[in-house]
Amino acid sequence: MARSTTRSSKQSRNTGAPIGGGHHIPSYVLLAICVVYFLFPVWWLVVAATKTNSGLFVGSGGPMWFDKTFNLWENIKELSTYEGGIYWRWLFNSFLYAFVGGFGATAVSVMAGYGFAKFKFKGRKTYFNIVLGSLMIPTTALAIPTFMLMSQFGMNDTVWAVLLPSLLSPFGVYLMRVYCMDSLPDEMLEAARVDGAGELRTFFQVSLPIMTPAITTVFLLSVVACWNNFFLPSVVLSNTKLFPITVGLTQWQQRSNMGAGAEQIWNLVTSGAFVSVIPLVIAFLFLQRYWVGGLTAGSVKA
Amino acid sequence: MSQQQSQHTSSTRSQSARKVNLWGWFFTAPFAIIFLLFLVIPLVYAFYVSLFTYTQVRGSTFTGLANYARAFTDPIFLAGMGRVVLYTVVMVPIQLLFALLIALVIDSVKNKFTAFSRLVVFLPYAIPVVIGALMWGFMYSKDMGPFATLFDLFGLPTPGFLTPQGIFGSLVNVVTWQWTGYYMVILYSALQSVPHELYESARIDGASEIQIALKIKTPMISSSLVMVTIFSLIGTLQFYTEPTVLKNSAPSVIAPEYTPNMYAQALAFNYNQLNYSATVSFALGLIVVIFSIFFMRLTRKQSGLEG
Amino acid sequence: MNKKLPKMLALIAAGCMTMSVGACSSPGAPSASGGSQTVSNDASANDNAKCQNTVKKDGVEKVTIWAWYPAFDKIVDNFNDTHDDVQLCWTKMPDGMTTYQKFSTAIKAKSGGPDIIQLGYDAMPQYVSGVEQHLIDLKQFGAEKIKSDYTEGGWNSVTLGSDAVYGVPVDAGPFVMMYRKDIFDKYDVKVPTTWAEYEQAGKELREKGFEGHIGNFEANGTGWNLALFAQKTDDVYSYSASNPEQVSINFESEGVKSVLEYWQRLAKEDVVATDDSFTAEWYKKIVDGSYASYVSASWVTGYIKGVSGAEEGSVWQVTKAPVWDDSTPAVNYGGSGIAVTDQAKHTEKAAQVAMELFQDDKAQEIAVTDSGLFPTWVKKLDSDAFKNYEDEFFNNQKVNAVLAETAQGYQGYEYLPFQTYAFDEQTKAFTKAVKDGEDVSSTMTALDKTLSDYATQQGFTVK
Repeated sequence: MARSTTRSSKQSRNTGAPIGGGHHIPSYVLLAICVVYFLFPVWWLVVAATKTNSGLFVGSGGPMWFDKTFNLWENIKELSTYEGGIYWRWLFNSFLYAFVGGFGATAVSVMAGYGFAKFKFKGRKTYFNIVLGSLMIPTTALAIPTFMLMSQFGMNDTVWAVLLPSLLSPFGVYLMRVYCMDSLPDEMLEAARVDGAGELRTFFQVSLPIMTPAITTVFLLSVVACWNNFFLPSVVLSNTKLFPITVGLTQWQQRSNMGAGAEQIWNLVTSGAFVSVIPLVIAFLFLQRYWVGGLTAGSVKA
Repeated sequence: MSQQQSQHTSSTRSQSARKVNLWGWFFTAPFAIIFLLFLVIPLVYAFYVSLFTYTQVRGSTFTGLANYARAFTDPIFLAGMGRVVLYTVVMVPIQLLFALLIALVIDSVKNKFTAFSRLVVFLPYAIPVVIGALMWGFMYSKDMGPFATLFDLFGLPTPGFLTPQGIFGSLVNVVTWQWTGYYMVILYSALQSVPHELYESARIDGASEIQIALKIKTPMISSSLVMVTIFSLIGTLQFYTEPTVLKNSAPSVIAPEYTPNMYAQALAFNYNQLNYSATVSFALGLIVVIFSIFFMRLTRKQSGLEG
Repeated sequence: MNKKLPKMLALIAAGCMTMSVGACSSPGAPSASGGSQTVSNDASANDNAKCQNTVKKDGVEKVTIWAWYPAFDKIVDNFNDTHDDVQLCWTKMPDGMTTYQKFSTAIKAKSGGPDIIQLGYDAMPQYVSGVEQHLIDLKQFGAEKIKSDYTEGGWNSVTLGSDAVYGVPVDAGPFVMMYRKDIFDKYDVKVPTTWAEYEQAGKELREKGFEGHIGNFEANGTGWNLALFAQKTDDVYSYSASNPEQVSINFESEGVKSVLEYWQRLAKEDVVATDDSFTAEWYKKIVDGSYASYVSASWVTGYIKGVSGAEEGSVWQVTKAPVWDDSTPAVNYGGSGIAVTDQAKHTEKAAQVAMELFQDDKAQEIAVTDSGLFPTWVKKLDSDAFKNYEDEFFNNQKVNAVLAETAQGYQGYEYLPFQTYAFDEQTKAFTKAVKDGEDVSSTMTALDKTLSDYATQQGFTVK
C-alpha cells in the first residue's frame, strides 16, 4: 500500500504503435475470431426472438436465420398479455433490485471505504482484514442459510429478502478504500477541517466529488451483480410477482420442459430474454468509459 | 502484510483520537451491520444448523459434527467437489490467458476496430448469466442449434454437447464466453495505467511488441492478474447457475448434485434435508476460503488483496 | 489477517451460538409430531389473502388453494359463481416440483401454506410419513360418502394404503400408445400391439428407410418408467401410510430387469432413441416425425398439441400401449389430487370445498376439454358426451374409448415418502443401464442399495 501509483493513463493514451502496420495482421485475425465467437450467440438470440413457437423448432431459415414468419411483435404482444403481463413486472423488479440494491450497496461501500482509508480508528486493521477475508466466502453458500434465517423472521418472499443481502459488497469496500487512499490527499481533508467544515461536510463536499469515478464503477459493478442475481432470489422468493427477470425466465423455461401442467412458451423465453438484455446492453455501450476508468483503481498498484 | 501505512494524520492532538475513532466507526457502521446480518450471522447459523440431523421418521436431533463426517465421506458431495475443482483447474487458466491475450492485443493496437472488439468481447457481461446459459442451452441442442449445419459444412460429425462426454467442455465454453470479457476489461484497465515511459524506451531499444507484452506489460499488471484469478477461482468453486440452467436441456446428463451448490439446493428443497444442506454449504464455504488463502499465500508478493 | 481471522470467527461464532440456541429450538425440525391431525377453526383468517382470481362475492369466507392445473382459473370461477357461503382463493403454481418445494418451505416455517393443495399422487406420501404428517384425513369430514363417485385406481391413490383419505383424486394418466398413422402407412408397417411386435416394427421401419425411431426410452421419465415396470406387475416402491416407518424397494425383481434389458437392447440396436423427456429437443422430435410412436400417458397429447403444426400431414392416432402378453395389465402414469393441509385455517370448510370442487359437471367439463385432464370421476367417465368426444388432434378419433378402458385397469400405485430422491436416483441408474449400456443386473442392485441406505438413514425400516 505504501507504494503509491504514478497515474499517467491520461497523458499516455494512444501512444501505441502506429496504426495499420503489417505486423498487426495476426492481431486482427485473433480479434476477428473473438468478435465472431462473442457475437454469434447474441445474433442467435436476435433471430430466435423473432420466431414463433414452432418456428423455433422447425423454422425454414435454420437456427441462425429468420423464419418466414416474423413474429417478434406478436411475441412482445404475447409477453404483455401472458399471465397478465407478468413479464414486465419481472423486468421492473429486476430494475428495482438492481438500482435500489446497487445504490444501497454503493452508498454503504463508499462510506466504509472512506472510513477505512481516512480514519485510523481502533480495531481498524482487524476489521478490515475480516472484510478482506470475507471476499473469499462464496456468496451462494450463504443463500440457503440466509433463507433459513429469514424464514425464522417471516422475511422470505418479500422484496427485502432480495434487497438487503445485496447491500453487502466487500469488494466495493475494498475498491473504494484503495481509491480513497490513492486519490484523496490527507492534506486536502485537513484543510477542509481547518476551515471549520465538519466531518460530514468534508465527506460530502470535498471527498465525494473526487471519488466520483470510483463510485461510478462500484455502482455499475453492484448493479450488474444485482441484475445477475439468481440463486438467492430463486431460493427466498416464491411469489411470482416478486421475481426478477432471471428467475422468471428460468421458470418459464422449466415450465416448457416440465411434465404435468406444462405449457409451451419457448417463443416467450427467447423473446423475453432478448428484450430483457436490451437495456443493459445499451447502458453498456454508453457507459463503457466508466468501466475502464474506475476499475483501474482497485487493480493496479504498480 | 504492509504494516507501515503511508498515511499519517498530520496533527496528533490527543483529543482528536477519540473523534477519529468515532468517525471511523460512523462511516464503517452501515457496512458492519450489513456484514453482520448477511454474512456473519448466516454463516454462524449455518454452522449451528449443521450440528443437527434430521430424519423423516425421527425428526431433528443434535448430532454434533456427525454431518461433517457424513459430508466428507459422502461420495456425492466429494464427487461434486472434485468436479468443481476440475472445472477450476481447467477454466481459470483458460479464461485468464484468453482475457490477457485479448487485453494485450487491444492495448498494443489502438484503433476503431480494436475499440469495437473490446466492446464486443465485453458484451456478454451485460447479459445475465442465466440468459447466457439459456442461449447456449438452445444452441447446444442437436436439432435446434446451429452447430449441426456448421459441422456438416466441413463434413464433420456434430459433437454431442449435451452428452456425458461433451458436457464438461460445453460448460467451460459457456463460462468462458460469459466472463472473459469482464476479466479482459479489468486487465485492460490495468494496462492503461502502466506508465508508457516504461516500455517506450524498450521499444526504442528494439524490443518487439510481443517481448514488451510478455516481459514488461504482464509483470506490471500482476496484481490485477492475481485479483482476476481469485475472482474466477471463487466463482468457479461455487459453480451453480450455468449447470442449473443447462440441466433443463439435459436432465439425465447433469445430475441434481452436479456441483456442491446444486447439491445443497437439492438437499434443502427437493429432499427436505435442511441440516445436511447447511453442512454442505458450510463445508463448501470452508473449502473455498482455504483454497483462496492458499492461493494468496502463493502469490503473496503480487497479491493486490492485502491490507 | 490470516492469523487473526480464525480467532475472531471463533469468538463471533461462540457469541452467536449462545444467542441462537436460546432463540429457537431445533432448526429444520418439522412441526407436527406422530400422526396427529391439526384441525383449525378460524373462518376469517383468509380474509386478506391475495388471490390470482377475482373473488366474486365479498364478505364471504375464503379458502385458499395452490394448484397448477391448466385453465384452473375457469374451474375456480365456476366454483365461486355457484357458491354463496364460501369463495376459493387461488395461487397459481408453475408446476408440481415448485409446489412441493413451496409447501415444504411453508411446513418448515410453520405458516404460509394453503388450505388446499394440488399434489401428484407420487408426492403425497412425503407429507404423510414418520414425523411429517401434514395432510388432513378427510374421513372425519365424510369422505367415505364420495368414495363410490371415483374410480378405484383414483381412490386408492389418495388413501395411501391406509384407512384414511388424504385427498380427493382428480385426474389419472392412462398409459397408451400415440402413433403417427401416416408414417406406419407410408412404410407399410403394422402398428404393434405387443412389445415383441414393437421391436419388430421398429426394425422394419428402419429397414424400409424411415430415418427416425419407432419410439424413445426416457431415462428421466420418473413415473413413465414405473408404468413400464407395472406392466410386469412389479411394484418397485411400496409404502403405506398405515405403517409410516416402513418402506420397501424392489429394483432387483426379474420384471424390472427384463424390462430394462429389453430397452437396453433396443437402444443398442438403435431401434429406439434415448432422449431425455420434456426437453426442447424431445418436443421437436415428437412433432417433426422423428418418433413414429409415443408410448406414454394420455395427457402428453396436451403438450404435443402445443408445438404441433410442425410436420405437414401428420396423422396422430391413439391405441392401447403394447403388452408383453395377455396378462399384462393396463397401467397408469401420473395424475394428481387435491388435499387439505394441516395449515388450513378452517379445516372443515377446506375439506368441504376440496370434496365439492370437482364434483360438478361444469368443472369436469372444463377439466377435460380445457385442462386436458383424464378424469377419475365416474359420472364423467360414464357420460355419453365424454365417451363420444371426438378429438380433433387425433383426426376426430373417439380417443376416450381407448383411454377409458385403460383407465379402468388402474388400481393405484404406491410411492415412497422420499420419492423425489428416488426419482433422481433411478434416473441416474436407468441412464447407466439403457443409455450407457452397463450391466442391468448390477446397476439395479446398486440402485436398490442406494435407496435402501437412504431409507435407513432417514430412519425407515426397509422390508
